[in-house]
Amino acid sequence: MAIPAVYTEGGAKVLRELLIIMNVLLLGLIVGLWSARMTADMPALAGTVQAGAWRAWPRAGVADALPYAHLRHYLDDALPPSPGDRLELVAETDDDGRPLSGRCAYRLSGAMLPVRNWILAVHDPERREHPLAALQAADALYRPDGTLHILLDPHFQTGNWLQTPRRATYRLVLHLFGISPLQRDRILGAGLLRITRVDCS
Amino acid sequence: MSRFFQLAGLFLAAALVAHLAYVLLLPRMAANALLAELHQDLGGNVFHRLDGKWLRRIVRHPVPEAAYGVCVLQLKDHPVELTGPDLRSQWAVTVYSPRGDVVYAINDRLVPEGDVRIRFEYRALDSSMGEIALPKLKEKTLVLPLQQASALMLLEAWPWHPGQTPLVHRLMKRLRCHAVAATRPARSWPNAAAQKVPMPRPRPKRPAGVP
Repeated sequence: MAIPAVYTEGGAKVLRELLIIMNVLLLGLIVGLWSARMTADMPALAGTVQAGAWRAWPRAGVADALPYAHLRHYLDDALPPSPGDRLELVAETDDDGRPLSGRCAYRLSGAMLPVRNWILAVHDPERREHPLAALQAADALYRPDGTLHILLDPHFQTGNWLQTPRRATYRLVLHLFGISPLQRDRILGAGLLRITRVDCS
Repeated sequence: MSRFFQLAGLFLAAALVAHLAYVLLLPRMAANALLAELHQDLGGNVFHRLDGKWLRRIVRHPVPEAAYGVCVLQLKDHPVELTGPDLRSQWAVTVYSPRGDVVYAINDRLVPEGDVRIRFEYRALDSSMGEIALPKLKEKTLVLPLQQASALMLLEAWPWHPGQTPLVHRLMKRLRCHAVAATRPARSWPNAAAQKVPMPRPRPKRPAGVP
């Protein structure tokens, strides 16, 4: 009776060789997938534009955008926002890079961009639902020089005030409507609302 | 040493294939799956107001007070029209292809004032002609040619003021997405343009003097 090839010395060598190749392939696959996920978060490849604490993805959803820009949105399990005449800006930290916390009060100050309409909303980063609080252009009070001061505080404040969750971290989303395509590319260079921490409890 | 380089090459090739497959295929597969799931759950060529599960699934950061609606466009056999009353708000229609990229992003300022009338038509691109169909305004209907037989249309309407929210939601309920009869016999855009519509022959003139 013939001995199967795998039990012979040559067979064992082939098996060992196959095992090494399989391991190398598997390792390559894991590294490839990991690198794809990591690259999708890289601002330059994901088309992220940053201005102060605000981030935006002005080319999201556009057919000729880099594929990483598409991937970033689908990793979040959402369709890319419409690249029409609006822009969605997201801030999760203040201007000093500290996460926005419900234990602290913040002041947003500066001039609002010349857009058709805007809405500033406080979102829970863990839950995809309607915002916790929001302020719309029609409801905002402007200073005589046209600038805005908005307070983010868990406790009631007079003037432009957005109530924030008492303990948890949160995310600010600024929706801008009525932006021309030319304006979109330059909008972040024009300067946005600064986010300054006032005090913490 | 050559053995090491062989294995390193194999490792790099595997990593590259996995990386590219993930980056290029995942968005396409995710968008396709979403479209199929929506079609199964809500049906094709039917307008649905979005809330709850589907709103959370489709819109990352919903705008407060805004009303959202979707229609899974199935254009292979018939054009589809979105019709309804003037939404009296700012609104935007975004059309996503099954690949997940945006084909059209239009808003209330690009259409005539008044009732909403948008027609989506399937126009397969004739590569030999190299022509691209462009959106047109026919009477008061905006005609959007699509090279995809199926697509996802997302409509978002934001009231100018929170007080208008109930009105916008009420008007949104009256929107309809429905298949309509094709206006042209051919599906391919360039061919349709090239086809001659048969005209009735002029009647021969009677010779003079014949009653």
